[in-house]
Amino acid sequence: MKKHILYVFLLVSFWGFSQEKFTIRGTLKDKTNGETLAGASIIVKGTNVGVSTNEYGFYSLTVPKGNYTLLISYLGYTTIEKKVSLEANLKLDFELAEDTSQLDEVVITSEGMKKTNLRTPQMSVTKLSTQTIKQIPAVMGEVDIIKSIQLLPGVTNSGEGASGFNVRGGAEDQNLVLLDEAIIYNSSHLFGFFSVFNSDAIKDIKLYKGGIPAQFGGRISSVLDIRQKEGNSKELSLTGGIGAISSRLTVEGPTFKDKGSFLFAGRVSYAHLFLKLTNNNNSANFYDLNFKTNYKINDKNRLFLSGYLGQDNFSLANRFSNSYGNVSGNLRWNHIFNDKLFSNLSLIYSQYNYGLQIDTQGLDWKSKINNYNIKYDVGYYLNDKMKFNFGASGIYYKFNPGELNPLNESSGINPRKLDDKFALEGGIYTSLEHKITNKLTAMYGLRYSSFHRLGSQTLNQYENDLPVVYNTQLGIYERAEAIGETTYSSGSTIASFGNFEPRFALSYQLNEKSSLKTSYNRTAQYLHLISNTTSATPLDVWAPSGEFLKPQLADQYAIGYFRNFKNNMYSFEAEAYYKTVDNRVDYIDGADLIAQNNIEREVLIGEMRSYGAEFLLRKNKGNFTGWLAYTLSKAEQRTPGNASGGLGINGGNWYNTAYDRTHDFSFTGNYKLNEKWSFGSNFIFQTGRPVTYPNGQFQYQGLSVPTYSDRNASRLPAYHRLDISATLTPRKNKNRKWKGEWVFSIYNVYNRSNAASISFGQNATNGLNEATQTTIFGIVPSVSYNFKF
Amino acid sequence: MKKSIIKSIITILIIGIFSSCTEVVNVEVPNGGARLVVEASILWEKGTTGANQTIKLSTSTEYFSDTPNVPVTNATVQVTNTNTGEVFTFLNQNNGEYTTNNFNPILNNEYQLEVVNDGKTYTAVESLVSVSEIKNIEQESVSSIGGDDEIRLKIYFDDPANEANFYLGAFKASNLAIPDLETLDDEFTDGNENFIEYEDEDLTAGATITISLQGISQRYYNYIDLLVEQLGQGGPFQTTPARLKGNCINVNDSNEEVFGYFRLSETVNDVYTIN
Repeated sequence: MKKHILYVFLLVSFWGFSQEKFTIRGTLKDKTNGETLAGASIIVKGTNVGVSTNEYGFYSLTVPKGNYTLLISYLGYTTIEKKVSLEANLKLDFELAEDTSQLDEVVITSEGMKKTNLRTPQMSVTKLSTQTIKQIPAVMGEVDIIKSIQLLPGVTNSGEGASGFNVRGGAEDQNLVLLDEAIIYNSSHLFGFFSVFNSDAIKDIKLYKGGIPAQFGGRISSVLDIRQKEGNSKELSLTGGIGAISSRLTVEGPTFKDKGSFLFAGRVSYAHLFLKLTNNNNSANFYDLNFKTNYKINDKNRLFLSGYLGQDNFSLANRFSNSYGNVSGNLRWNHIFNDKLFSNLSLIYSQYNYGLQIDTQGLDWKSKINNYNIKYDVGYYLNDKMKFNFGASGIYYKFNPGELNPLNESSGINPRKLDDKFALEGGIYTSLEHKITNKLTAMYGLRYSSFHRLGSQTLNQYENDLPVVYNTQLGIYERAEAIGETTYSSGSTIASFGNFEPRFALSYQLNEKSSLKTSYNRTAQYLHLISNTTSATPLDVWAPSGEFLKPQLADQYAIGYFRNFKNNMYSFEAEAYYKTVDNRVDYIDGADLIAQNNIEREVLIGEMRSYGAEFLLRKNKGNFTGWLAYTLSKAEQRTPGNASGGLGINGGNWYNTAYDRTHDFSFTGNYKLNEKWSFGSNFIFQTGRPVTYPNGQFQYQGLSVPTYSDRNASRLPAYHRLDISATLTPRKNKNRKWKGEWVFSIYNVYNRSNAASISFGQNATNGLNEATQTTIFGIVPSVSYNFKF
Repeated sequence: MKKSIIKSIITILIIGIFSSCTEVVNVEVPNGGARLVVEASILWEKGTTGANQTIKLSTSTEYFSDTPNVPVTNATVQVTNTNTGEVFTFLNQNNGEYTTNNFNPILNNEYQLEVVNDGKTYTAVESLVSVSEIKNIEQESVSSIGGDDEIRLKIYFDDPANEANFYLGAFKASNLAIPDLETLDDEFTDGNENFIEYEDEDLTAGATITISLQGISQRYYNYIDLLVEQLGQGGPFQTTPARLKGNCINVNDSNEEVFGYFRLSETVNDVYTIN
């Protein structure tokens, strides 16, 4: 049915082909540093014909022969008006200057907020510039991308010291986190206290919570698309900062005789700084290195090379040490076939590694994921009504889930290696953005993804193919005994999956100021993060789908209302969504996931559902800028026993996921008092995280043992806190090349003791039961100094 | 080795490295009602007859109860060796304890427990599991996360090769209120010299530690390991708590939640004085 509709729309638009048409194409850049501008708009004045620049700043606009005035605009930049007399195809590059009168304004643009964006069907997406992110008060002054997106509606996490983030009731592993297109498997430093993205090296981020475009695949909840800066192509510049946690330095400048630019950024934490206890051997530190360079071969070809390397190291009292990190690299080739056809080829590598040494046990443990990704994307700007995107990608994975070795000669550990796993993930897609009428725009997309688990590997066979069995006598789930083994040779296929993933979005512009949008998307995810802790940890392993673990499939429906008012000073958006996920695994009671070669024996397959409403009100202009966000939502899962027998986990009933939050409210504001001082503040209030509290105790072997029943039926106390910051820019900056600023901030101003967890146990002295709350951060003041040269 | 140590390390890192703090709070918890608890640990110390055995019956209470121990005093308890057909009747002491003085432990024999309480019959089946001798006990001083020295005991023994073995170590220090249980699985250390370790920041010189090393079945290991993990666990990386349904089943209603376990272990006991 959908296909037929598509053909009809195609026909409708080809009817208007009588007039002679020409194409204008070009690239948009920032006048000061030459960074390309993605998402800027080029509109024909007096009409609503227009186009946005792509990720590489490229645009192409096809209109009938004639005289036009083009309006080139990007929020936070001065709009350019350009008269063109169009009698042949044209190449027009533009450089936009930052709007100095609004230099410190919060530059947050959300698709659908600006006048032109009311029209694009893309919804549930937010773009944040690093400028905005830097104005949000941060813990210990450490600017954090992952924490800043949690101020947006529909995005939460499990609080301080929890890695990752949750989007619309999705799990941490359901987010596709891309740094210059490379998959980042773990986005946190220090177990979630800080994110791995050095804000000085990042240009902007885009978070898709729904309506995920067909070009993305592999994760079902969201896409966080992070782009590194290309580097200043105008002049050599230095930026950096000294903070309470780390110091940063970024060098960027033109290279290859002005045919390109480079950026090199480093961030290093101080080793012992946050260790509250002196006089011990504990240490914790991390570092990041970001690199990017590009070379313009000619007008139609440009090469980019980017890389990231980050690592965390811990050592505690000479008893255990732990390290983990990500490595990624990407070589890209932009090629412009003609005025309407833009293409990009990417070769991407990414790696995540993890290591743990426990001296007392003589244990040395290593694990790793490698992937190689080839990706080709094409944008075809057919005419002013239609734009096609299509492409293909292939990812080869190698998983090393764990290797155990004795740490020293006296160790009692036997060397052991869990089976390596191999897989190939493919995807092809096409999508069409189609302006059907002046008011109605549609986006139709289709992605076909495939996943092949490859040998060599030896897999267990189980009776009736059931790796988990229900012991009807004891009323518990147990691991099945293997009844045999199947050996797959290298290169042979163990299991294959294929899924069509339709993506559809529609926008209807009610008037100049408001629009309605709706979207549907299906997404497939072939990797599962195996973790039964309340918050993901770096040592959780990723497991590919195969004979027993099936791909997770999500369907999401969303509708939204978008409005700009008071001359675009304010904007408002409201969205409602409903999402279901099939094949979500949960863990049997007492599951043993550590160094587990046969994960299938520890899990049951279930489903998730989530729904909610999100509201965002923003003030975009003036001395005071900021936003209010509120989300009302529900996220649940259910894990029946299915073929294994029994009722399933939690009696087969629906239970809250650990990331269910009924209410999530946040306020973010920035006030510019004068040239010297500006102030920032944010406030967060969230319903407490679902947890399982004991429903009784019994006496056993001299101990009081808590008993637990319904999963996630209780909640921690509500989470709330207020942060403030003040930025001082000394006046003498004006005429100097060296520009410095001081940022003073206080995290958790009223010293709220937010519960990271509450545990139940016996008092060591009197043996009585008590509940103990762990709080990670109380009030934390900090100062940092940033500079630009 | 105890695998959950790997997970707890992350929690310790978080708590130890950052300026986090802990405080005792008042929390309202649900009440699941009173349920039967069967503490039927048949322990046969090497070199003894093992004739004297005690089984305790009680009911669970709300979590913060002032009277946590509610004995069950009108049940009947008996154990049958299903290999030999021998029946051992446990006599009601009217304080929740049921005892016998003629038990006959035989390694690897299968035993069946039968409890009749309140008109309902509960049964459980387990085998008597052997254990290795303790080779030696070492005391060492280690630097704790807080930077202070803390005393640790390591109980060494030889693990039999080419078979899966499971152990429970029970420790009771004379100066501490609550005992400590440590579990061990030989999955990573099969056939080698193994050790079970016990440490506590409150151990002091002169304190005596009663040590019992017990051989346990894989099923009971799964149960007791989960039980131990759920004792006072915490931190942001805590495992989702699970039900602790044991092996004592109401023959007419297998869904009835009965806590505790019927298990039979050979044990080696020792007493160590901290120096």
